[in-house]
Amino acid sequence: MSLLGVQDLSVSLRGRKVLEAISFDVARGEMIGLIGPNGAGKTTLMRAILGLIPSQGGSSLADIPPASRGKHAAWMPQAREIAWPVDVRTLVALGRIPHADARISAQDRAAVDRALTHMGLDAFADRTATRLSGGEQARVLIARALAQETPLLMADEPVAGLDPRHQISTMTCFAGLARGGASVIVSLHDLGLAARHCTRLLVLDDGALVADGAPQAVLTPQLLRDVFGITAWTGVTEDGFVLQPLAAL
Amino acid sequence: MPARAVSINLCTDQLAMLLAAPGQLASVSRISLDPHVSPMAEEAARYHNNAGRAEEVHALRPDVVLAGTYSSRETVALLRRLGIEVVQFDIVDSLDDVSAQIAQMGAALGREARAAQVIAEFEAGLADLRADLNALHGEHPRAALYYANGYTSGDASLAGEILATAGLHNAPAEAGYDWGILPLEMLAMIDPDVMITARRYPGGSRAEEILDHPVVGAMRGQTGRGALTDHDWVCGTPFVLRAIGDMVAARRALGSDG
Amino acid sequence: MTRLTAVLGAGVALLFAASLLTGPAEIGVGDSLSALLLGGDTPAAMVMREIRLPRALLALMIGGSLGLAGAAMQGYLRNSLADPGLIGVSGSAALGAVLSIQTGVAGAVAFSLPAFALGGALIGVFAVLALAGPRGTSLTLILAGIAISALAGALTSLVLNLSPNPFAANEIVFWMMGSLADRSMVHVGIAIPFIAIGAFMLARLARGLDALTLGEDAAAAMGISLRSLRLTLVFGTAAVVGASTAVAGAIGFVGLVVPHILRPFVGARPGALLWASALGGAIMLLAADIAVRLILPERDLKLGVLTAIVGAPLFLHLIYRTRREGL
Repeated sequence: MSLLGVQDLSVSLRGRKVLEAISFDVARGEMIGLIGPNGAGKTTLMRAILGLIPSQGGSSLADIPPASRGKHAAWMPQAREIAWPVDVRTLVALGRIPHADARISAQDRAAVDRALTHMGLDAFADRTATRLSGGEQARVLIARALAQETPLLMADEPVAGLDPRHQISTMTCFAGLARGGASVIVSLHDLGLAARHCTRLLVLDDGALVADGAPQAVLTPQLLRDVFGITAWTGVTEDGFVLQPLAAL
Repeated sequence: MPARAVSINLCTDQLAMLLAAPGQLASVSRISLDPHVSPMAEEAARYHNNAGRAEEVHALRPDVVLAGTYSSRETVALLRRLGIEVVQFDIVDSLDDVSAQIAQMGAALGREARAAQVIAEFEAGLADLRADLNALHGEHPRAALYYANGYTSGDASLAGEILATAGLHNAPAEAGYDWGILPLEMLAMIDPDVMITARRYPGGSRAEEILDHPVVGAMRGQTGRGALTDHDWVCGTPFVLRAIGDMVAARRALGSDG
Repeated sequence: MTRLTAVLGAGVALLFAASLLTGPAEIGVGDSLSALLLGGDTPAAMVMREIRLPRALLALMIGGSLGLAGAAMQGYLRNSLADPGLIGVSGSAALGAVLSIQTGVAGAVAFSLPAFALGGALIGVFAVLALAGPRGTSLTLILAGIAISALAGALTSLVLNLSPNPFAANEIVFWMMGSLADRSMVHVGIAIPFIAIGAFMLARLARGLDALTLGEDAAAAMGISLRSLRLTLVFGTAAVVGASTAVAGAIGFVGLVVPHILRPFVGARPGALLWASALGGAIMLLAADIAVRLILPERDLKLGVLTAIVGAPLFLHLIYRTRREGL
């Protein structure tokens, strides 16, 4: 069952083609890494899929009426905004807004609790979100997306600025979600993390989708050279596929 | 006797127009053109009108300038520095002051004989009115003067004396609210027999809005309770006799309703 | 949260009663209440029903409006410096009101006074959003507010000076500082429909403002229509501030002080802050209106004087804090 279908999606900004005829489908249980150099159009692609910006072509998600989209996909933008000094539990509970009518129900509370536990934030529940460290805030925002309990979760550079431990645990968490039947699309720059945790990689270069497949198949030396301008060491270890960038070309 | 006189104050305008010899009065102030406050508005239009500024007045080459004690201090001082004689007239607080001021104006213009004539007419008219009033029996109604911004006039004012002469009690003054703002609540509590307000100006103003308040409207709306002040009340001129006459008529109307 | 509502509600009720019992006419408590409720033709009844009651009602309605509008604007702009008075919305509303009075339309067409004020407020809100929308910094917001306030104030003064009415020129103080003196049930009547509609619109923003805590993108992805949110905010604020200003002049700082004080008590949630600020604003304005009658009863001390004495120091403190945090 396809969770998301993208068909010839194109975006033009100020007369310039930023995205060119992107097509792919997302099934259940996929952990997709969206990678590409700076300016490739990763953020634009995700926002176009969500229907946040105008586009040509089709996105099954953008076709859903805006008010219900929040039940189908959770979106974590790159800018990690927390506008007011609310406590962590309140912030995570914002993820229930697409589901809630007026009152917070027992179901909503349970979802929030699950999300807090999943991200190891039980001890932080009553702390003021704006007073936490950058890494802790990032985890709180992920918890919010988890609380939304949608089949699809999309995140724009969710691990940027986190320490290695939290980078790994976040990616592991997303991978776990995928194994449980949801699907996750994350954009990221760290090719090593992408290689290890994602089941599928989408490579964007200059607005076009240049590769789509399993990490081992996609991250060839040729692609690394042509798209990223680097050389890297790759290998299959007993812990899985590993990639380490080496030199810029 | 000064050959050319210029008046820069509303009240001196009126008295000057009444007493001056033909051709003696060169200019009166623009305020006298406003029928809301000037009983001689039409007359005033036949004169040159000034805005009361020193340069303009100086250009008219007056021998004497007639001003009020509250005319702009700077203007008066400047005129005097320019070597022009300025005679200042105080605010009229009582009917006695009216006669005194007519005399003062007569002296300033060198028209003492004419002044004496006007005073005589005024005092005769006043005596007639007083005689009329003695014939009027009955209660002395309670009146309240209520102007824009909720202002009222106390007993020791021309308006107060007009009321007193017409045999009306100044209700706010009796309640302790002399000259100044009378709170709307107190007006309601005082509940006067006669409400006296001023004519409205065109355009809107919040100051006058209070006169639209239902409380004021309720009092004015009742028969015989409403009356208007107008230009006869403002200055100490013989025209106050008309004002007193209006008040006597209002009192009669009240009395005839039982 | 319900405890907060109860406390604030009790405060409103108490101050409303106190407002009814404040005034130069010394009517005893018992007499006041019987005059108010039973009516009649007595002077006391006239005072209670035609003078004190409208004044108390207006303080409640207008205070609530200003608190609500302040909380709504702060929630949308995600900036705690937003206040309808400070950012020029009240000033623009006052200009609209003055224009309707001086052109004579106010007297001729029913409800034209608050409608013109609403129009003025609309222009003000649009101008602020255009100059310093949600992506604007605090600095841009305040500068926009200064510009709009200054222009509106100058034009208002000009219109008043051109009036054929000699009293109008001095009226600028009322329009810029606000007063509830000598208002009547007529004023209550023309303000109520606009305040009711505007308040209803602003109350519906709660969910959207909560979502905006995460930023515009995240909120939009959760299904909040940003365009609808903005329009509801604009029209709701214009209605509520327009009607309030038309009747009482521009009163500033209520929309700044009240949300700021109450924010910690609602856990900083912008949606919950809406209701709390409405109640808090009513409390603040009722208290101020009682104070002006007790401090200088003979003079018409403007409400804006008291709200500014409380609000301006807080404003300075907020600016200092903003500057320290490097925003």
